[in-house]
Amino acid sequence: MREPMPDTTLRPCRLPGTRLEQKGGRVIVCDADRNVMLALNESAAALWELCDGSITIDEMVVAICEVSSISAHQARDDVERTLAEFERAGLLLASDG
Amino acid sequence: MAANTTTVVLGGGMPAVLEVLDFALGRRPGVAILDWDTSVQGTVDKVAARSPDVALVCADLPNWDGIKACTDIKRLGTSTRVIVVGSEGDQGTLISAVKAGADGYVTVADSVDDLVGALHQVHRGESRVPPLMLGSLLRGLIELRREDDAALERFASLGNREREVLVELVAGLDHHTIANKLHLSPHTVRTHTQNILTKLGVHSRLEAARFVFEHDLFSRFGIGDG
Repeated sequence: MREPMPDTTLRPCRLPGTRLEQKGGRVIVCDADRNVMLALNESAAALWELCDGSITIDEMVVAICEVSSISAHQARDDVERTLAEFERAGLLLASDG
Repeated sequence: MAANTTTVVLGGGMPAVLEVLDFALGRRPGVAILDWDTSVQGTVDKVAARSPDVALVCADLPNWDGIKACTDIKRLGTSTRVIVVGSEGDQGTLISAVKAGADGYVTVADSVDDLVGALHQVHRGESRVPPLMLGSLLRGLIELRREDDAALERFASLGNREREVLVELVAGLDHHTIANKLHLSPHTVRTHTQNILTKLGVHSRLEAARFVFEHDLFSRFGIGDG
């Protein structure tokens, strides 16, 4: 089933206590309190750095388009998919709209 | 030349650096160094003449401006893609390179294998940014865009008369000359000037001029096009 369309003006924010670690050449985001770990690729790790509650999804998409050769549509899909993954892993604060 | 070969022109201010790059990269299968030059104009001319797949330019060396080289190569409008070689962690240069249209950025800490990989990657049409610098690059670009949006908003708040006065201020005219030119009293020009500075959030005519040029405001608003 298709994920519901996220509000692109939302500002994703990582949970306090989560941190990025490098282990064996892989980048992993960890929430030690809840024993959650998620391996990230390079783009996802960069996106994770932007999840500080101040940057909108739209801004993330525009910036990614500026540094890559992918289309805005593709960038938006990638960003939304990655953020959904963070959310499913319980690594983001619940958005209040 | 084999179809899967990436042809390259090198540019940088120091012959020794370019000779080392030429030697190291030129021996790798799938890479052909067509030429190199130590001046920006010479590099741009060689790119124009040889049409390489990729121009690999150093970012900052004595007597060498790699960002200008990147900008000028991109202005040629050819299919040549550009990789800038900069310092590791030099966020400012990376952002400048991206703004200048660079398709890739590698660091002096990268291995020759990394450089070869970047050449092929960029030749294929992909972009290349050091993974550890990507997050902060995106953040820097977002901050720049916010500043730019705020600048546009401030400029848009100027009235028509204020914009006319600003054009003359940026051109370096004094209040009396502006008053004569626009058929206003010097007092009115001074009032407009004060309002312009307040609305733009700057403290002097010089800062106002810098603000206009930094954000390319006149051309974006079609002012001074003729």
